[in-house]
Amino acid sequence: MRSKIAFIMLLFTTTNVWAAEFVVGQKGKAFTAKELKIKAGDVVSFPNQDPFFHNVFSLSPSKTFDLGSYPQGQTRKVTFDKPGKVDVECAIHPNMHMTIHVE
Amino acid sequence: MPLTTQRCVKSCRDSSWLASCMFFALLMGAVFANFAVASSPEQAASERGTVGGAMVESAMLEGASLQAGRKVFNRQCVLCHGHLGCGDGRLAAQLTPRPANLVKSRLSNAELKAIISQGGDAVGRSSSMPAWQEELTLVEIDSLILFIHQLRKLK
Repeated sequence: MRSKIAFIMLLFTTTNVWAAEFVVGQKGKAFTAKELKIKAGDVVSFPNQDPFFHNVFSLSPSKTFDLGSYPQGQTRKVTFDKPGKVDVECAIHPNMHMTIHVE
Repeated sequence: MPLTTQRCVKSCRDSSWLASCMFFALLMGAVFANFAVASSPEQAASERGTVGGAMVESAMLEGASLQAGRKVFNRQCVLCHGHLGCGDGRLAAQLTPRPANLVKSRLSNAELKAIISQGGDAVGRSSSMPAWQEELTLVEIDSLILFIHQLRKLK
């Protein structure tokens, strides 16, 4: 009984247990989604589907990251651990923008 | 220390509004001079020589211009190298090593062309510097080099 309670408590205290994974590709010099709503703890992967490099980054206060340059076929993931609005850009293609709303 | 030098050093340190205005005025002067002078290839070649000396002129493709270089710089380079080329763009703090200070840089035209075209990794520099050869034309790269020489004048 005690171990069951410990297991249930672990489920509720570990955010990653319930984390979902979303995919936002880079295709035709654009993100495949302009807006995305996720929950804190969720993961977003950013696969490069273009035949040239992309460099996904964000300087938003709630989540700052720089995935560096990577070629077609590669993907990089980010865990969004705090609620807030995250503006995502590409350092190589300044017209590429999308927004992730973390609830 | 000459006034221009004082301004650039100050702007690199704290991006003061006054230094930015002076820089903008200098750039606009250069752009308008370029626009007015470069009405034929011969005249353009002559104008290019005034930017970085004979070495710059000999390396540049026909059609390269300060105006085009400024446009490319503002679109592709400002994010990391900053509006004044001092290596203090809004993404700079995320990068290790920090982006190059183009005002202080003394890379040759051949070295600039290599790192801009092939990226930092290919020439043993920062891997954060992308290879721009798929994004920029050769004329745009040469124009960018002209503009970097203009930035160096502000040192």
